[in-house]
Amino acid sequence: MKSTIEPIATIEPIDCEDWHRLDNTGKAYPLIRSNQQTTLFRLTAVLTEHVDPIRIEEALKIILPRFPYFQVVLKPGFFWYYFEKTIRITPVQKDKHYPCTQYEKRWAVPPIHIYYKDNRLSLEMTHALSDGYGGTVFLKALLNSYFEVNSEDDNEYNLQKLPVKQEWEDSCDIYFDPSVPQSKRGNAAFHLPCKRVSQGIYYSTTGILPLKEVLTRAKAEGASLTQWLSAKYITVLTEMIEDNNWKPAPVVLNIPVDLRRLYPSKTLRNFFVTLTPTIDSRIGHFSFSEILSHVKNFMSIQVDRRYISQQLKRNINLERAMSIRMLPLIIKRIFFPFFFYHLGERQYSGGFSNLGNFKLPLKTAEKVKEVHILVPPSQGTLIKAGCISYGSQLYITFGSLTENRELERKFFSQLRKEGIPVRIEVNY
Amino acid sequence: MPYCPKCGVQVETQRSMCPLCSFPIPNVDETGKNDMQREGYLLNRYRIKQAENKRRWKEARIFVYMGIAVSLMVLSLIFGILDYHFFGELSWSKYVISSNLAVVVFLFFILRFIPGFIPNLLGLGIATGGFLYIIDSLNGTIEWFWNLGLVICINTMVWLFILRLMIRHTRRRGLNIPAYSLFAGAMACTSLELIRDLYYGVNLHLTWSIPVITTMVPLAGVLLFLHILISPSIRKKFIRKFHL
Repeated sequence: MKSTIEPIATIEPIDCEDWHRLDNTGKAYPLIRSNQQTTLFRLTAVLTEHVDPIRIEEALKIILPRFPYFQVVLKPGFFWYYFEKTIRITPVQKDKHYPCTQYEKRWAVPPIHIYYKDNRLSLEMTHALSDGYGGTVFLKALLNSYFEVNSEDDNEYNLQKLPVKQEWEDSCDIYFDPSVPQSKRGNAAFHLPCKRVSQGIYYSTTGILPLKEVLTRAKAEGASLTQWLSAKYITVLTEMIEDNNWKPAPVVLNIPVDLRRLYPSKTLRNFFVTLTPTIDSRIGHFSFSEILSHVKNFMSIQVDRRYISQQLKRNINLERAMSIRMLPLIIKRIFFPFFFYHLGERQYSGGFSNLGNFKLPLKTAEKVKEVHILVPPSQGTLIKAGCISYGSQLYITFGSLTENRELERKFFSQLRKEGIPVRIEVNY
Repeated sequence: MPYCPKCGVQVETQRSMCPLCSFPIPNVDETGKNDMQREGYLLNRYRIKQAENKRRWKEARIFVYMGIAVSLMVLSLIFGILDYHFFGELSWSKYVISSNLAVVVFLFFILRFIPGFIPNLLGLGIATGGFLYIIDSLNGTIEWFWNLGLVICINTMVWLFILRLMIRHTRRRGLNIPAYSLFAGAMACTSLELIRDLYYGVNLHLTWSIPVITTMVPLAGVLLFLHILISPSIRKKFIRKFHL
């Protein structure tokens, strides 16, 4: 069907302030934005039919009043970026470029992009606006509205319910405990010594696996899915160091943890901290079972409100430090990417985000075959992975800013050696 | 759907090589519906934007040039009229008018309406020579153009050409580019001083170019050394030869 894109429509959002500040985590992302580090993540739904862009636009018009805090544009202030309410609706565009590479220098930047191609519908969202959980909620609402399905479960983000202020509160600010000491900074981690691709390119490699088999393997070793896959990731990195005779260094994996499981927050903005299990390849060789044991123990200790609050304190302190707050935005834009690398990305070798199980109502689920997640591109670590489960399948996607495929190849080969069938989809 | 014999993953039917390990995939004739969607050729947004900006600049530069050229011509006319009105002849305005004309000609080559570095360098050289000739001849006699002006102009063009050659033929660009620039600058300054001595018929001696050489040449050497050190292949050879 030939698609026609209507001129940008307008719709009045309800009961939302004219503007709002970025949340604690979100403040950093616009400061480090560049052509290659766009801070955009992508959620893709593969449907059983071709996507109709007109229906998508209609669906957007229906759901945006329910999420008025997503109908904003990113604007620069004197000290910080902020979100301003807009009546414009994100245009639906044909997907013909590399994913997560949209970068605009203009005054008002839309934080959400919708793309379609054949039977794939993709939602790209900047991390300044929300995290993976917020993205999945928005995508679910979009798909339900697209297929004209009323969500029958008692989901608080149901379209029939009005938005509440708690959905756009900065939960980091609310739940942080000023009395605890902040967490300590880590040391420099191993980074892949691979050449970065030129700007405008972002490769994705998706492995599709049967969820039940992966869970069985993980449970057989007493681990959760995240722990088991993270241990595999770290094992592959340590093997790569040994096989290529690279200089050994601590292999640190950045694993985001959704804090909505630990705190009673309804926010759809960023609310996560990252855990960093570490294996020091300088001190010797570690087998997979040793690495898994370490990751399990580390995460069982660290996923605790007390330790989490230390991380929250550190994040809040960085935001609230007068020396940082008083710097004009133009100065922050120059120096922040440097600090972000040295205080952040330099301390880990890669990232692994598990968005959990993506559930849809039955009527919608019949028309959606697959759901993929692609994490934002990272100039520091070059390769990061994300996974999401939908139906009986698990989708693990590596986003890469390098031509080197050794990590993806070794990772999926390891899973094949466990007897788990793997199907690959790539965009190169 | 075929499997890669090397890494064991299942790949899209259209693939002849495994996307992960580049191992050839055997051609399997499969029946049944293929629901795998290959991405196909993806466009590089950044390159498209760059090409679009380049095209817009090429379209805009003619307007920029015409705007500047017309403004300078009008200014020259005004100054000429004023000069003639007050002094009965073109006195001081001759220098202003010839400078404005020179800027218009220089801009033509700087904005690269003619493609290629050599034609534009030659054009700038000829324009500079012409401007110097006009400036020297305005008082009625040619005094310093042939022995000084033209020689300096040729000297500068030669060193720019040599610098361009060095940059063009370098395999790996990095700190060696500023190193070559500093070296060429130091040599150009030295030859300038020698040209001045030849013009005045005095013994060849360097005065102000000595501090220029003593700062720029060692700095160029340091940058070149760092550039070589950073090169992975040469670094490996260096460590192999000189390891402790």
